[in-house]
Amino acid sequence: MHMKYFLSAIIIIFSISIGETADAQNQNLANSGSFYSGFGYGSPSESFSPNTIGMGLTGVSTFSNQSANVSNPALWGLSGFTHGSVAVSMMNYNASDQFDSSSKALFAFDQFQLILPVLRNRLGVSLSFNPVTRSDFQRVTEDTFAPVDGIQLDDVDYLTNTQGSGGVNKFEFGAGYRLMDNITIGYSMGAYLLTQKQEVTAAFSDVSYRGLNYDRDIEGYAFGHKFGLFANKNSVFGSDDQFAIGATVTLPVTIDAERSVSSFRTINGRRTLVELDQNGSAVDGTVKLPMEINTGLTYNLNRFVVFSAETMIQQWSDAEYSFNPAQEAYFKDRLKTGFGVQYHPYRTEQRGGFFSNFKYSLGSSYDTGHLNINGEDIDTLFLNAGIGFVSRQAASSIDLSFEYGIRGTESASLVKENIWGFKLSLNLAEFMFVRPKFQ
Amino acid sequence: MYLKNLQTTTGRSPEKMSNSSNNKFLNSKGSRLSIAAFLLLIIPLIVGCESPGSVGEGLGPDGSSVTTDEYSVTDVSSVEENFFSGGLSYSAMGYIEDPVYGTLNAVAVLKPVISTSAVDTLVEGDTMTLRMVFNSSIYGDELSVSDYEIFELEDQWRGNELKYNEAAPVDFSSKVAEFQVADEDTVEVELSAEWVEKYSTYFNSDDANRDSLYTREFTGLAIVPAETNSRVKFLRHTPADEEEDPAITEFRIYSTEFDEEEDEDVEVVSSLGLRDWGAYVVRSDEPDYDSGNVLHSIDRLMEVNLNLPFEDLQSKNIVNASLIFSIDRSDEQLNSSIVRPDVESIRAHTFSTPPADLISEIFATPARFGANINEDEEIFKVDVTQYILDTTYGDVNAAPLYFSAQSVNGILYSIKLHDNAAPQDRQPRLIITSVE
Repeated sequence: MHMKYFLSAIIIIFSISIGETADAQNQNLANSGSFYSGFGYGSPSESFSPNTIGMGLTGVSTFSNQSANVSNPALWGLSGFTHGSVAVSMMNYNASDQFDSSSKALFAFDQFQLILPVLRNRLGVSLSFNPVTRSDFQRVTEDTFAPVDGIQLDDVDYLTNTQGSGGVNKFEFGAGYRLMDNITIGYSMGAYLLTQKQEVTAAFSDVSYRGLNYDRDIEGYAFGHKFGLFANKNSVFGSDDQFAIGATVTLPVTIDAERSVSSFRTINGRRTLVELDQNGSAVDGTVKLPMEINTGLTYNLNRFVVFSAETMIQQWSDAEYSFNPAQEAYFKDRLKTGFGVQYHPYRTEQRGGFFSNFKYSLGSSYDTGHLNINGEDIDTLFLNAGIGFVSRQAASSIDLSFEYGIRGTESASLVKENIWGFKLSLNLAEFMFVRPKFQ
Repeated sequence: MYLKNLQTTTGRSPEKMSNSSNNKFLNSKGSRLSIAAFLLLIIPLIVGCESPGSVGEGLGPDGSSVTTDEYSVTDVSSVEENFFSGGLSYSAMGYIEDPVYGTLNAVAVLKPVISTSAVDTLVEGDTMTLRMVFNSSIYGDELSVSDYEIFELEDQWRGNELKYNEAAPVDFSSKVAEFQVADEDTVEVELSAEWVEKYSTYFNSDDANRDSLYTREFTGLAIVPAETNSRVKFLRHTPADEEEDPAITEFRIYSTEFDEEEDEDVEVVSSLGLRDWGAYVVRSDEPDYDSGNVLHSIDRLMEVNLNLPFEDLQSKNIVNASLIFSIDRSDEQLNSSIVRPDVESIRAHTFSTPPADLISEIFATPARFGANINEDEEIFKVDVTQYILDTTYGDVNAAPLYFSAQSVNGILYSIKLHDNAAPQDRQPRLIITSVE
């Protein structure tokens, strides 16, 4: 019965996803994200575990048997259920500088994960897909140029519209294993796929200058490794509490990438796809993802209240984007720290009112950002709130979170963004392949 | 079987969840999922519309920018070929000694038709005139008065075969008329009775081969300028305006007929169009130029070979390629008393295979590229983008570009363009504009 409802919900969300994606492609709507995602190979995209998405935390130290955890491989070893989860988001980016403003929206598929408990609560494997960086942006540039140096001809006005999409996505496969009652370790290997596409449209005020559409594509792949640790201790300050710590280390990943630039041109009277020849250094390049250390501390005050804090460090100063050294020079080390609290009133054995049927989350995080432009860090302050719809008949759930953030600054000729939107995760947790013991 | 802390982290063990089903929750489960589904559906509605904006000018996260690259044009040479000079819109007549572009001696040749619906027969007493209608263009001294004589020609000629720099075969022993031209736009001169009589033998003939005899035997008239003249004018053969100014050069017959109403003879004027026309124009004593590239619409082209850096260009998203030619007026300004027809444009032809008869091909085919003069900067900016695209990205070789002045319409156009001896900003060059 529960399966039927959750499958219905999944069908609904996929229908919306497909519809929105098709609509975005047709009308160029809801496919542009942060202005700053246009730098390098995109802005880092966190993998939030569904359980902690409402706090804006990755969940590296927060275990839940009701939903998958994508951030810490060690937690896969604790899984008692077969977990499946799919998450989507709809974000609004209202950007402004000292002269202009813009509003963009991005509907995105965030992640998919399937966890199978090979040995229940001891050994679990996971297969997941999630973005690592995201480069979804629209950039409109207006400018003028002098057509011929040294001769006073009328300046030519031009406008370019660049629509960027893609980034680095990761297919991850790994396992978690419980070494001891309170200590679990995990490892995953990720296939990092870089697919960065920029569609550029250029138009000119002088008709003798050909309007042009062309594509810039960067592609490549590489494999990376991630290690996880999880430990917990019960009854620290009381009989019903628990401390848990979690940490992951993601090793740097170097992608040998290739760039191509192509456009359709009229050559000898025929419409022809022209691949621009570039010298070797421009065609082949290196995209290096930074090392990441993610740590968290979770305190379960009791079965109803959970506090969690996380700190993540990414060594972006070591990251590379050889296709644009100027943009690579903007990279700087990134530190993100956050804190959140959850309240689980539905866990009571006694039925409460309507509002006791849900899970509530609240959190805040500060991100120094991975870019330093014109001497300014592109930092972000996020506020998160979430509500979970939990099935009492199964461990499945739906997590819906609201996010509001302020990124960047208008000073130093930079762009300030007000970010808000929703993230939604459907989490399926069922016994599969196992006959329940009570039967 | 289960971890001790599982109760804490999940609130209940899986067994409890499985065993905890009751009817109340079954009833409430649907409502919670309905709420979730409702929220799912309204999310896209909540999200506002997009509005593009140019935030972050100068930061350029996408790297899109327009760049211009400049390449010297060094392979430029003159091609001296004589264009056609007959059957055009205008026919030159006059004489000018131009210190800048040489001496021009232009003899216009004309031949009237031999039939008109208005006149059946030329009879004794009828007279004929040549009514010359001039184009406003002048080459020479605007204020001068020119002397002309009209002679018969010695040899046959065909207008569509005439070329410049061929001497006119004038029979100077058979003078037909003489006249002067100042600043009139129309001059009518009576032709000699001897010539009219000669012409009337063909006009009045009933022979079946009258037309072929006329073509073969009657040579027409040559308007020969005196070498004391200092101006060339241009006979008009096509109307300046079909409605407002339809007059063109023609012959006229003046005859008399009896008007019964008036009971007296009245003069009747009948137009006689041109069967063929053209001009013999010879340029001589052209000075040697120390620098620059000179174009004459009658006999000189400019061949330009662009030695393109293909490896460089093939990496560019080319949106425009323009050839820049600057005009050198320095010599003309030293001889400012001479007015010359304005060259308002240049044009370029290119051929995938070298033509056997370059001039015929240029004369018969439309120009592939062209540019009007920029009068403020005294330059021609020729858009050759398609040529560059075809040669850069296509599999065709870069064929020469043949530039000519204005057009071949009978008016004598000349212009001098700077070459690479000029200051850098006046040298010929190729400007490639691309988007990166």
